Amino acid sequence: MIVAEQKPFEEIWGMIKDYKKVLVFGCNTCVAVCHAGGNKEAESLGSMLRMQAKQEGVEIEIKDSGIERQCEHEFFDSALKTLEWPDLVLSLGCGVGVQFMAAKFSDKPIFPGLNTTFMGAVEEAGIFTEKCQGCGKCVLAETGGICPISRCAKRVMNGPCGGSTKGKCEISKDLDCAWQLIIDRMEILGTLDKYEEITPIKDWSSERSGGPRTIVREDLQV
Amino acid sequence: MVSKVNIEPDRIEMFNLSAAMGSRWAEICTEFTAKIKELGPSPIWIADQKKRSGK
Amino acid sequence: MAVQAKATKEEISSVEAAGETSSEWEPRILAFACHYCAFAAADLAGVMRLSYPTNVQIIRLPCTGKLDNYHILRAFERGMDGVFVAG
Repeated sequence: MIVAEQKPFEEIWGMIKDYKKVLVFGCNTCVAVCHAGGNKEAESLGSMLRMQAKQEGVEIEIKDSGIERQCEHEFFDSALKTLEWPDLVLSLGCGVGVQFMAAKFSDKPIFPGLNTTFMGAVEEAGIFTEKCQGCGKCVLAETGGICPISRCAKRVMNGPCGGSTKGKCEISKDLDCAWQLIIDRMEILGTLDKYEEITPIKDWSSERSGGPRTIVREDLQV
Repeated sequence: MVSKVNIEPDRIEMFNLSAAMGSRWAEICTEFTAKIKELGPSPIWIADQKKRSGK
Repeated sequence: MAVQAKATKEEISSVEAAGETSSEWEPRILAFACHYCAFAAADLAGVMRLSYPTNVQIIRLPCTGKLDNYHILRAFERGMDGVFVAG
């Protein structure tokens, strides 16, 4: 899922305080799982902002609402009326949701309440780790199910590099060397012979460096 | 979370008690009320008060 | 604890304001109580004719697990001075 963090409260307050009618708008899918931008978080943030406004003596009306997904037209149907009211929407969606809303409601400012960080997993309660960078050409079958692009600081395709020491990466002693993990896993799987094969230079054109990407699925189009 | 809007975290507390602890309930209420009295009114109440007197 | 808290800027202003308005201010306290334990305890306190401050208002929950941080925020937003959860 997409992992995000709520922006510092002071920054959010600074963004909204000059508006009169603010809607804190949650997105109840990915960013709800990381407790950053779900509808519950929208309720809490709305309440905190109202208390802040009261204490600062600022006349500002703050409401909260949310939908299941801010990145798909259909989900907005139930909220269209609610979205007519505000003169500013503080979206608690990821960067995708904010942009999707900005395009959909082009006459309204849609501000981000979150810093979107990465595609990751819930390692344990409260710990989220990056696992995928969406390179567009998955190599996990060849690398023991551990991604060298998202989990190796250098994105090395034939690792480990010289900075790998005792299974840790040179950029931080707390960070596992992805290639050490790959070799360990391949050993368990009995596929270490594959490790000997040199992986050719990766074609990065399917990655973001090839420009923003679009997928067209004609079979799904209406 | 509440401290971000100037509310002292001391204003929130959690107690564990069973259905048979009637006297403990009375005790908790008395103690907690005394504690809040010492902390004074919440910043929200003060802000409300200010607004009212300003009008 | 209170002395320590009073050291911060916000606290000083709140204490000052408390002084000004102390004649009219009475603490408003909200208790979230579990139906099966704490609420029953409160009930028992009543049956036992124990007296305790009238400042405490109780909201009964089927279980305190129902409580969300949002409910506590809302209590403060509506002007509560203290909130406790009992279960």
